[in-house]
Amino acid sequence: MTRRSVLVAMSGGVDSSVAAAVLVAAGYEVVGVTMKMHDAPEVRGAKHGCCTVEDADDARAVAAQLGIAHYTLDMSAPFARSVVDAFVEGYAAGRTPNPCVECNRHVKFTELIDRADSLGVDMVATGHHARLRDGHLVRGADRAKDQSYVLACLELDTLGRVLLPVGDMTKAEVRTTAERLGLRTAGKADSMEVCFLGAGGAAAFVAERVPVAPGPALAPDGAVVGTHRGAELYTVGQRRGIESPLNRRLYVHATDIASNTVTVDTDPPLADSLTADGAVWARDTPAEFDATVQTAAHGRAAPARVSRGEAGRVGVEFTASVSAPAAGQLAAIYDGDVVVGSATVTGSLRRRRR
Amino acid sequence: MMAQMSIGAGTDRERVYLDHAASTAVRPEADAAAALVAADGPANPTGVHRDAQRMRAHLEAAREAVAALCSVAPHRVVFTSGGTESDNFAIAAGAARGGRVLYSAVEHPAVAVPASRAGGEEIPVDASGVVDLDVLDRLLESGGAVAVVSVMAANNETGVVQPLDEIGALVRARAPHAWFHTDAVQAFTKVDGFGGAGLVSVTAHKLGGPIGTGALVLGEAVEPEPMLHGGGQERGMRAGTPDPVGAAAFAAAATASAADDWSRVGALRDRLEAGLLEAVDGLVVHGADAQRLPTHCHVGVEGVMADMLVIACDRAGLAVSSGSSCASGAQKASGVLAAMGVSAEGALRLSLGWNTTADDVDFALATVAAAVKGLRG
Repeated sequence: MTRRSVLVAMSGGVDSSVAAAVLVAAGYEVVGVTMKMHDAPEVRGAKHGCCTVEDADDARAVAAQLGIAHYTLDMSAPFARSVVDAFVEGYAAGRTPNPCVECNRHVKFTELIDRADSLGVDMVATGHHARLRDGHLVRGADRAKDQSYVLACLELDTLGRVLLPVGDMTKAEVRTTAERLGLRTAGKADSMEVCFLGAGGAAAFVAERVPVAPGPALAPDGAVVGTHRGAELYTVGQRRGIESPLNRRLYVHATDIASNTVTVDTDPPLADSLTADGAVWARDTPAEFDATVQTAAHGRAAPARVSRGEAGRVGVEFTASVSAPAAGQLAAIYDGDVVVGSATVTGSLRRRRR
Repeated sequence: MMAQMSIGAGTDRERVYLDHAASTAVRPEADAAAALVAADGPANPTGVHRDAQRMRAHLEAAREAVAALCSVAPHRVVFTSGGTESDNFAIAAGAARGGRVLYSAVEHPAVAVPASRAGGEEIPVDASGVVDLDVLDRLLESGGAVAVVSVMAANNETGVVQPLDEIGALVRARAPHAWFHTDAVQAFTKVDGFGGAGLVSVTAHKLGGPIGTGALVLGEAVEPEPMLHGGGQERGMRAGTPDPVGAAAFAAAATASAADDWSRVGALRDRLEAGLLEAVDGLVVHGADAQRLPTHCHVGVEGVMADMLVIACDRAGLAVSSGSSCASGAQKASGVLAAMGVSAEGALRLSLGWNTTADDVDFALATVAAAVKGLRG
């Protein structure tokens, strides 16, 4: 019997290092690849989790320790197209895409599987904290580190080619394993930021690429209460970047690109329902069913009634009010810990108050 | 469950190495020379005592040997850490004279980057990668005094040899005060003469010596400003303790390489190329119409990605390369091919060395053909 082979995406972080080690120990023929998604001169030397020269060096060193082959693949063209350009276009249109979701959906897994296919490699693997059970995506054993949300966009036939070797481990177990193996990434900090954004974050990145102009910040009743730096730079729920004489913390409730206005209020924006499209389903579901729905990578899943519409459209009625999701984010739909499906948020509504 | 692991835990089966242009196998002559000199140490060759004198004698013997191969007096050989340092040295010293810097569009980054930073002007090449002499002529005649002209002796990717005699004659006729530098890292000991270039970059590890030793060979009239300042070693040209072990190994390797039968390797290369053209549809040989080093075979394969082709070959046990690598290790499309106006699709360099055998070539042929088939699906 020939050994099963697997292509492991090694970012140079501790999770993917241990993922590779686990697969080596399990008897796979393991090939490590570092996917170079972008050139990041402005963040060079910064404590970012991937794509710096240092991160590629770490991945290479771990691969050498494990005795496996390692290659760095230039993915900057598809990444620029499907993630960076889409990110900027999304902001320019008043949406807030999640770049990690878009990368997983359009670049990371498709490219990995494509490369594996052409090399005759059976499976692909990453260091994500999530599990696969009978082909279905399940939350990671470490709830604090669970990354099933950013993988919820993957189709079942994609998941059928994927291994997630650290999903059953807690982060502490991952680090302990790395230490026991003497891997140099054992103590490396987690990456928390979006990999291609510099210190200025999304707003600075978008402002360099889209023409923006300052404009009025409006109260819900239409009164001008301050100024913003360009409606394209704001996200629903955000509470920074509004200049106001009110001397109070103001939350963004809505942005309108056409009129270049941002609606703000003193309370955080809430929603009772949302609409979404581009649904991907992991199992057959009735037209309407109860589930929990998560609309941000670090958000909580909230109980809701989900209805399936035409052409990949989805409606979600939350049982109780939730933090308003930004358009462009992924709505990940769970049955307990199991991902049932996902769709991209197109809008949300607050129930009318009497 | 898992034990602590060390580098090289997974051992490869038998492999064939056809990446000699990146770094070739160390020759036994180089190993022997290094061992002999190392056994005579340790001592800093610049010291006063007898131990230092012995090391100095080894260093100077190596210098004489390299100088003889370059037909210059021994004191014209400045030992360096290798090709990149020699190239940077030559371009920086040339640019420091004041005047224009001209360099070919297919130079190695070790020349192209410092030349470009010095505001240099590119000399275009034709579809075979050979410098356009008419354009060079016009560049030399117009636009002010030229400080330095840099054209490589042979290209690192395609192996295409430049007409250095004609280029040298042109430079002397049109810009008699300009320095003529050639990066002979690939060509040294494999082609005769460097067109009268006054600065020649050479290195040990492309011809069977160790990585980390090279030289800048100077013509009689060329006195560059020193690049490294310090203790005044290498006639003040390059401060830093000289390495007699590396120099001796370099000299031994270069002497052996110059005496080698490169037509044997050239015949193997031709056999490899003919075989590839026959076995693989949509394959072209780059620079086929130009004079080339006997060691280089650079091809483009339609319908496959260059980086995947290299990986597929590696998995099958064949070490080859494609384009150049960036700092992260990702393979980048080649600027050399772009300058030639050639697509980088499926670019693959197979480079042969002094110890390459017919079996190696047959293995490579079968492996590349199978890899292309696998990638095309």
